[in-house]
Amino acid sequence: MEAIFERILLLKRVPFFEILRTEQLSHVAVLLEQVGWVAGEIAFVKGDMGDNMYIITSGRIGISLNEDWSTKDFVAEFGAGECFGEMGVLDDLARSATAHVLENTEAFTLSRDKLHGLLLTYPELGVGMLRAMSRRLRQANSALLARTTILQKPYK
Amino acid sequence: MIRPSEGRTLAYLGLLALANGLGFAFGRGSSDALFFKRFGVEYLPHMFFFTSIFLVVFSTAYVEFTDRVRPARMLMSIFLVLAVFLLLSWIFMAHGSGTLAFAAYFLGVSVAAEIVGVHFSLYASQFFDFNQTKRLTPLIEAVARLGRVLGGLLLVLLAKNWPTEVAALIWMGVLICLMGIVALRHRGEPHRPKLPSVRRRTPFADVREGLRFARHSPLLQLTGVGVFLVIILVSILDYVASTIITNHYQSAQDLAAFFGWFYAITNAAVLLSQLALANHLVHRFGMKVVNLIFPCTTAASFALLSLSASFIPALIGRFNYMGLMPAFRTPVFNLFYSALPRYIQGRARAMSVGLILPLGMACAGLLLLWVPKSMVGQPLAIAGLVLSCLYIYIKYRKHQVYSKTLLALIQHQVFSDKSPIQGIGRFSAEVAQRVVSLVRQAETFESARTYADLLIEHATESAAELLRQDLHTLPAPLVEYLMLQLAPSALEPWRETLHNALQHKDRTVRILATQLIEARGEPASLLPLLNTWLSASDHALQAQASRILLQHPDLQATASAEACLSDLLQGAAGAQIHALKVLEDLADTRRLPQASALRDAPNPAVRAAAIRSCVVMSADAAQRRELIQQAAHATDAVVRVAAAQMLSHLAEAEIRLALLQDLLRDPTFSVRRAAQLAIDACMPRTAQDFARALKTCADQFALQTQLCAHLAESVLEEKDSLLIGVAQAHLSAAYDKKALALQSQSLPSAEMQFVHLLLKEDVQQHVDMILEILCLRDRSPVMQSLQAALKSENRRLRAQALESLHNAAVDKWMLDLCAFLESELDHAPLLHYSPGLPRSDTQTLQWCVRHGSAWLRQCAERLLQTHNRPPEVQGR
Repeated sequence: MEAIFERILLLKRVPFFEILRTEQLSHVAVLLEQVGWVAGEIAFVKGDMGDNMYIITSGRIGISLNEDWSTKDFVAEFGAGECFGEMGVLDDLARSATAHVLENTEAFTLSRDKLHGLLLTYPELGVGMLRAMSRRLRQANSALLARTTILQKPYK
Repeated sequence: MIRPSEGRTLAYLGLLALANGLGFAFGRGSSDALFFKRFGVEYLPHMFFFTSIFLVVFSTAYVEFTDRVRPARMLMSIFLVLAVFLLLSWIFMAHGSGTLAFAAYFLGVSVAAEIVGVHFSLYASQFFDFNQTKRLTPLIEAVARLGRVLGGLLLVLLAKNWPTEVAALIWMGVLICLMGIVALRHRGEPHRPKLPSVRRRTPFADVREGLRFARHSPLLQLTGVGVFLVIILVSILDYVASTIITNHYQSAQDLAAFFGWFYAITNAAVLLSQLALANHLVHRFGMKVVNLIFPCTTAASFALLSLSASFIPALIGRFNYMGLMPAFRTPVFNLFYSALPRYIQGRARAMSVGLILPLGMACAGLLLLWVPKSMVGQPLAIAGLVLSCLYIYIKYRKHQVYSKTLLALIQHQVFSDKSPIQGIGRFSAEVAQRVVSLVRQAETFESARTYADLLIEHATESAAELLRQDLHTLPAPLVEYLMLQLAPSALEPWRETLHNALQHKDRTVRILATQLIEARGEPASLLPLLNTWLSASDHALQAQASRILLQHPDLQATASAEACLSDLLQGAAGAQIHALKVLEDLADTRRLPQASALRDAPNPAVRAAAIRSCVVMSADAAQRRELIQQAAHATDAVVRVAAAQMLSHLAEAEIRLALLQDLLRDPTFSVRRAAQLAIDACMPRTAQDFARALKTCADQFALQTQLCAHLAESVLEEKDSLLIGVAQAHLSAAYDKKALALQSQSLPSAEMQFVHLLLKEDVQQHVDMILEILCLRDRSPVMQSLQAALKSENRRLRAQALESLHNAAVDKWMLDLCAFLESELDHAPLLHYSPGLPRSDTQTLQWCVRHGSAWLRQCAERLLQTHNRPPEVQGR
């Protein structure tokens, strides 16, 4: 199958983009650029300014909130079909976490300018992004709740 | 349907339901037989009256206790009380001298049937959540019905070998077993609820609020009248049929055996109907038809009894209210409540069960008491027939009201008409001042324009004042935007503002000001300024001055403008473009050679401007066609944009749409955008043109939508039939594509997975198109709200919208649409077979090339190319 169709299929599985039709995704697919990292590398460091979001095609990325970027306590792990680094692209602030490459990883990258252009062309993409962010927030809340429950459990 | 974790609970509840159904079949059959034969069927009206009183008393007592005791304990208590009652009944029936025990047994069974039924539902619901309840309750009910079938058969065996009174003892035995099973299941649980019970509303409060709501709800009023009528009708039918059947049999045992058979057969029929027929009928014909089945069979039963008050019509009558009523009336009756807001549904049911049911039974009892015994037969059946006709009418009206109420409910949930809001919303002076300062402080043009829009809409005077005061300090694009938006209202001192704008530092603002002053019919006031512009170095100013002066009666000014225009036409590319725009605006045929001379200019923008001018100035339709066709296929995008802009000047609708289609598919965005903007101007004018265009553009959803919208707006007589034809074609395509999508889903290759995705999208677009056409045909907000409800993620709302659409369906294709939507939205099975559908991957791709939308076809063509390509030989 042609590479463009494979990209469309991949994008259709990404929660951010699933709201768009394949025809619209064909316009997104051509804007993607390919990047790759070897296991052990760091995709970006907390505090950096981020201009790109990433969609993983293969491999695994671990997200750490620790100020010390060499510490590997991950709050989330992302695999193929998931995206990371989108917060910096949306709010124009510095990266809020460090992204560690856990396995050899290939990904597509989408720059801030291109994403903003897409948002203007396809306003429904905004709804898709809100939905995906809301899902992420729920997951984070659940993780926080689980951690709090463990901490509050009386010692026996 | 049953998930692994639910098996044990379901088996437990099924066992309870089976045994309970069995016990009640015993009780009902024996109590009827004993009461009719030993006490006298002529006392049946008394029983109706007393049942109504006992129902109110015991229901109130039940409600008082039910919140204080755990449901399991309450169930065991009810079983215990019933078992004691059955033991006492048996003692008095078998060994007592009077016949009052038979009446008490009959009454007890009638009341117990209601109380146990209600509490068993409550008890079962505590094991499941809402979705499980909806999924599993019909299964439990089916098992209970099976229990009644078995109970009926066992009653036949019992009646042949033992006295009928023994049934009470056997039922008591069943109840003791049930108590044991429940106790075993809940052993070790505390007796009291863990949480203190919240003080509930009293049932009387629910009934009172239901009544209050009914004052404003025609649906609830008709439901109340319908329930009341059905109770009266069933009571009459029961009285007449029971009298005839009782007289037909000699002994209570024969009668009990007959009732055994009857309950077994009736319940088996109900079970089969609930499993296989009722839902299918509702889906196929809708509630409109199913709603009328029971009223019609009731009328037919009474008609038969009116003709002959004999055993067979009596049997049919009894089957009508014991078999057909639970099979067809009960499911539809519950669905009617869905048209009421959720918060009122419980209260409406409380009103129905707590007030109308006992009231109806009491009235039926009193009415039948008043009827002389000699009239129990054909005369009473004739009265029943008259009442049945009234009942049919009430049911018919109720369905009409239900459809309207459901639509109103959907509209309330999804659609808010903006018109009432438009009157409100004028900014106060303070708010307007705050928005003015926001416009001044805005950092980007977009935000400044957004605030300016708010001002223009809600405080136009403030916007005009802002423009006047800040004309020279606001950014030029914003000044331009405000001038254009405020021009139609021209609030004073508009003239002064425009003349101030002539001194603006930005030339675009100055040119716009001259245009607006000219549009006001005051070009004379511009003459001195325009004469200076003719000799300016700016080509845009020169062109604007020439354009206005060439239309002025002053000969000297016209001559100067003519000379300036000639200079511009011979100047650089920029000057030529401005001059050609002037020619286009003037649209003077005599100037055609001036524009034609630049059609082959080296600069594509000049060529595009020349083509625009030539098309506007040309009087020959063939020449215009040739010019636009050439431009549409030019290599330079800017020339193709000019072609798109000039499409409306083509006389031939077919060529216009063919070119529009080409330009809509153009690889360059600016051309596609220009084509999209030209869609409105390219629409056909006659019915034939529309029909042809709709057929030609069948694969272009956007264009079809535009065509349908314009067709719906037109005054053409054929528009309705044309729109229906398009909708039917889309439905047929959607059926085929859905079937193919389901087929391709099972194919493992990535290509087919992609095709599956594309087909699903095509199906969605077909559905959207059909709903859009329905909205265009019926311009009321009702259809728009149905469309919104069908797209909602709320399953209940979608079901209501589907039901409403079903109610509105008059043609077969609309029913097919409902069936399709049900499969599309709620994954109902799709029954569709098309012999022409492909089987293999290649055939599927070829089919998509032939029948797909433009995008699907494009993808399928490319997939076919790779599909048919021979595998590459791997080198060593």
